Amino acid sequence: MKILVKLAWRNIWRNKKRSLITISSVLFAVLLAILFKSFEVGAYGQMIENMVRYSTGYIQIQDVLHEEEPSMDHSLLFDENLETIIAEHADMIAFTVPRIQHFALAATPTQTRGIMVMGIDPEAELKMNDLTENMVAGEFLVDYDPDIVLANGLAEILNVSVGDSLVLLGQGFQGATAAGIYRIKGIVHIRLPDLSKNTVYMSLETARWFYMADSRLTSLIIMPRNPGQTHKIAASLNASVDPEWLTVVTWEHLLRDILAMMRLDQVSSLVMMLILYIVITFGLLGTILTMIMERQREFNMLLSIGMKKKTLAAVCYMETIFISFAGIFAGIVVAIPIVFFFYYNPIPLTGDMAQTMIDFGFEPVMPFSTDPAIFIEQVQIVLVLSLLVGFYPVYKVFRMKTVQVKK
Amino acid sequence: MKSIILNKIFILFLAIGFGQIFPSQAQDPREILRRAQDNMRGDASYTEMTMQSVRPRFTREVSMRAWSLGDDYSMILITAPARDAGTAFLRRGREIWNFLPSINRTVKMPPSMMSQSWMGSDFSNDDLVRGTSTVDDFTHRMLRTETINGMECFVIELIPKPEAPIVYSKVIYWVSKDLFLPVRVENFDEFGEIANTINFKDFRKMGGRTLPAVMEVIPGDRPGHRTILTTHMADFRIRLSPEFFHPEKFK
Amino acid sequence: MKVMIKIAWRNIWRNPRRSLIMILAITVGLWAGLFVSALMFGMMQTRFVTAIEQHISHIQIHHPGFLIDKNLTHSIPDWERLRNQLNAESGVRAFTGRAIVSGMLSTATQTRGITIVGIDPAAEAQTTGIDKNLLEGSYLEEGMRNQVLMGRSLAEKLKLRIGSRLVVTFQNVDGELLSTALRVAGIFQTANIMFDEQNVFILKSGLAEYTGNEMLVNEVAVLLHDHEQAATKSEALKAIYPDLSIRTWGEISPELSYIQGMGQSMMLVILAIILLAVAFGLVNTMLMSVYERVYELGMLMAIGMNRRRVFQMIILETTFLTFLGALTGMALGYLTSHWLGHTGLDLAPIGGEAMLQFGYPSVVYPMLETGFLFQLSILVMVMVFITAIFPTIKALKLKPAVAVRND
Repeated sequence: MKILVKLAWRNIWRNKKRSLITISSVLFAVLLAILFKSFEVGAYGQMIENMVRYSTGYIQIQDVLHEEEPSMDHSLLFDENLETIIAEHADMIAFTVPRIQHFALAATPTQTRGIMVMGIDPEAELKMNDLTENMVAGEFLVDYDPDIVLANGLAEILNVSVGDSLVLLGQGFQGATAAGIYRIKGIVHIRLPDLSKNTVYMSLETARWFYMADSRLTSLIIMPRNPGQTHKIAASLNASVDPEWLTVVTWEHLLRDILAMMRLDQVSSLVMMLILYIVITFGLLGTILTMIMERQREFNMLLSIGMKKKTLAAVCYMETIFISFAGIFAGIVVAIPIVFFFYYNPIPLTGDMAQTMIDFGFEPVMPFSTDPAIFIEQVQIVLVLSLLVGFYPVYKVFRMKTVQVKK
Repeated sequence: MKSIILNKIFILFLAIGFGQIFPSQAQDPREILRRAQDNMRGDASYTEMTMQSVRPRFTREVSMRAWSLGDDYSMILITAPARDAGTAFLRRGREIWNFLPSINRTVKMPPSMMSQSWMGSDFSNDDLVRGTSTVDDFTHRMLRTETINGMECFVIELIPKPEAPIVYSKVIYWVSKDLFLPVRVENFDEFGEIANTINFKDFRKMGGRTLPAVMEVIPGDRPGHRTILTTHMADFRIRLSPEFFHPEKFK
Repeated sequence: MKVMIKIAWRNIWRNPRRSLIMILAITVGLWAGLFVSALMFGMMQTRFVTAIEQHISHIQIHHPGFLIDKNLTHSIPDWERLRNQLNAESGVRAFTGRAIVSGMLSTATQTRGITIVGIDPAAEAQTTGIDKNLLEGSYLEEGMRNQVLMGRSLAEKLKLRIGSRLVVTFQNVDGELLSTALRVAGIFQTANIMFDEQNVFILKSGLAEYTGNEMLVNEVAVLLHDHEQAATKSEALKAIYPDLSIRTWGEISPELSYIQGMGQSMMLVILAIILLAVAFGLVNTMLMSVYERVYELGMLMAIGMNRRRVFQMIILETTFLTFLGALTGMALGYLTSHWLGHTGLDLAPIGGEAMLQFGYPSVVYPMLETGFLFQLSILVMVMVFITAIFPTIKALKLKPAVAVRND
């Protein structure tokens, strides 16, 4: 056995050029597969991250009944217990975003319109996304602000501007009537049309007073330091909070409808990857085939001087193994810097499409992912492919007729 | 009002008189229902009531004074608890206005708010506005007689006619034989499940008429939820006119 | 030159296996590239077309007030005139006038805000094909009373079935609130869950009973033969009806153009990667074959063929091989795309059911534009050519004497 290994090894280095070419085949295969997958995962991840940042956050703590029926009665009490639990997880949590989000009626002398009240902590919101950064007029909220800020679409519909007062009515906590008149401090530009036409922002304390919901929140968003740990953190929080009152959910649960729709995209990606693998295999096969043909004479010679077919076949296969490993290793070595380069310097997009992306709050780039799972997975696949292709020389060897010594 | 009482006596007299000869007439479900509904209504009234909204997590109580004229006009003024005191609702036809003392404004309720619960109870704003549906929206069938809460009742089944704007697929009505007042109403959805139950209790004389003092609404699919409306006092002799029911009157 | 051509041609067939391998490599590469593009393109088209044709159509016309508040007062004043015009317009494939009002839907247990869409069943079927999206029950027909079509997701949320009873409430033209009972006649599902949850369809003539106005229309949707004509057509219409809001699909749904653009750049990236894979495979196969012929080339040079001629010969060989490969590849690519373009590729076995759930057909129709076909093929050929030059130059550096001895 040892001799065979030695033979295989020496065979490889006997003809450096030929071996290098074959190794490079494998290298490119690995490199391309990794690039492809990295891009796919990156693009998907970018979409998810955008959705998470602009609506649900990674983790939310809610009242148990809130999902079924989002009313103020199903709001959570942000008491010392909860604060302690959050503090216990401080090392894993980057920051929290408290919110009171509920329906209300906005009334001007001429109109009444159903709207959404967003009671927020302005600083925390800004950490999460820049939705509220583009002021069109006036100023944005500060902590404990008694005034309100309208989304631009709504301001237009109600025909109000900074300095005007708006009457808000709604249903408060435990049946209390929520009513108040508020001064419009500013108008903010919101990109998404649905939000823009319907949102009124106020400080958390003002919202609490409006809905008579002292110390309460409709949801507490938790943003982890490392998104990869989302599930871990959620599970740990779930175990710590009182299950009779509170529940902890992740973005996967909150966005499940949209995610289901996105699964469709993954089907097409799968088809693409399959085709890529086919092409790669052909590339490998081409290289191997040519190599075999070139070494016909050598094989014939070996067989005619007495080497058994199966020994020759074994040696051939071992060569394939060595080359595959070398190629894969080289492929990873080359792939890593390239992927990381694109990770830190994503390819920028231009034109109308880029503008639309910006309008939606996305960065107009093509993202790549550096998740190690990608590397591992692609390596495994290419390995399997090369080992399969490696069977061809074995097959050829067994079919050779020893008499055929040409040239 | 006098005329109603008179009518009631007259009809009662007729029923007794003719009951023997035409027993079926008094048993006609439609007539029974009509009488029950007539008895609950009146031309003009003033009532003082308390409404209790019972929930699994809390119970809320609201006190109010209500004026109504016929089927189309009513005004409700909340008197307790303190933070809601002074809030008023005005109904004209199918429109509702809401006065809020805390901001000193009157707002007309848009259609989108109609399905919202009224003052946190199991009644919706829409319920306030609709009142009762007419007997003619249904086909009726007498099921049986039954005694509940110590009162002997006709049990009538009502099936809504195809075009009638009724969400329920079936309604079962218990009408007291003696008083011709509703004792219980059960509303069913199309799967035969109870959508809600309304119980009428504590029948006594108020303002010269016999009426149930307590109306209890129990939604079918929400365990632990109930709304109880208790009438403390009623006056039917009050004189009211449509002009009374105007948003200006809030002040 | 002619001699060189002959020699080059014969060289190719002298070693049929080697030549075939290379031709095969090019064929597979080109075929894969074409097929992938056609597939992706076809998928994008389906998505795009589905979104447009099922929902927003190419042009939508409204009274400007309707965009703020969906009620019956903001109707299109000139409907009859508009209708006659659209009927006469050549680029118009189909159009439909709808009476839309926002309202509330009540069941025995729940109430929800919805949008009631009064349709002309025949025109609607032609414009959006909603009749084809029926899962259960039957489509609306003139003369049927109090029937409604409901989206599956809405029916599920409200726990309704075919034949279920419900009540809708809406505001009439004079502001009066009306309620009427309806029965569920059919349940549909489109590719947009949000749409399904929000919209219910009744007969426009049914609404007319309440409004007293048969001609009351507040939304007109137009489907053109060519969606790229949308902008021109809408401009033309705006000139005639300056008071109406006339929007193209791009204006109504900028997300769609975003997705189109995104899809296109993704396609380019994927194509680039696959082509790279093809290129590398080819390079290696070529290199290998050149090395295999070292002896032969050395011999030629030793017997007097000058380097220029050797270069020509190899280039010519490469050209022939490339052409043969490209032709076959193109033919295959075209044929498969075309054939599948007719019969469709059913993705159901690899996860396509997810697509069905969303109202997308699980069958994909690859589409290949002839222009694209040629562009891509030329790209591949150029690529092959360039990849051939490198090993060729290598070959030219051979010293005849050394080459002859190398075996």
